[in-house]
Amino acid sequence: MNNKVELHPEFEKKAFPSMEVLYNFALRMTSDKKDAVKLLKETYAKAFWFFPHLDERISVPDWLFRIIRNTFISDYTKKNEEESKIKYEEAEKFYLQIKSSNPDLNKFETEINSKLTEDKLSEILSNLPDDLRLVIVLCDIHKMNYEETADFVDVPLGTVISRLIKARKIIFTELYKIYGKR
Amino acid sequence: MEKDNTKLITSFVDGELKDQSEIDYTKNLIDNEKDLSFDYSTQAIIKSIVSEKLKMQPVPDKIKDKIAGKINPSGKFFHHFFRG
Repeated sequence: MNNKVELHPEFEKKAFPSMEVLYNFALRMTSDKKDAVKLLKETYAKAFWFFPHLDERISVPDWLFRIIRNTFISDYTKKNEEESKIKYEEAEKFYLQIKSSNPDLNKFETEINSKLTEDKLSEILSNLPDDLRLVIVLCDIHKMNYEETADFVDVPLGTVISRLIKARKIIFTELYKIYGKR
Repeated sequence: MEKDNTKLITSFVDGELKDQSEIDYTKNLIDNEKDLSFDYSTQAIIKSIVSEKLKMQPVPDKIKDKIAGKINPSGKFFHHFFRG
């Protein structure tokens, strides 16, 4: 079983069913189809290389998800902490302004439901700091619960909640700039 | 305290509260605290819109084939990543 040519069918059988989940993760985290495919390829290349040494008790989908996360963190994260902080502080300030103006949220929701496109929302998501985007992708797109997300991101559960609050405030304010004042 | 209540509301939006007394307490906050009611509405709207608009997409066959075809230790793909 040390020969990688012999391992190929087994690897395909165990690792390929996770491709859709991994592809979507890559798509949302990189916000670019070409980068997503590149990240996916790198993930499968690494996984195939290390597959012969994988402990059989380890879940292959979980293992693949960790490989893609680590590859993303090491190769694709671009924004630094300071940049992230400024962005959130601006959003928080604007969020409080909106709150104090007592807006009609039903009208706003109707507006975004009918007019917001997937591309526009993807663009907003791509402008989130990486740590905030990650929790939104895991919780709201991949439907992970808090415990799974905390384990995956390797942060305390309270941090997951704080990041979700920040991420949703930024997304809300970005959407409000476009759809809130019509 | 307000910060903790916001976290409670987030947990409620995400269906993470299991204890009935905590659920009742949070619903009461949403019904009676204007600020927290706003936080609840905005979070619920964003969670819903992200889930609905950014659905899981199937992997295009071309990409599947590309990866399947290139997971071959004698191929260029592996040469590029591990030897090149």
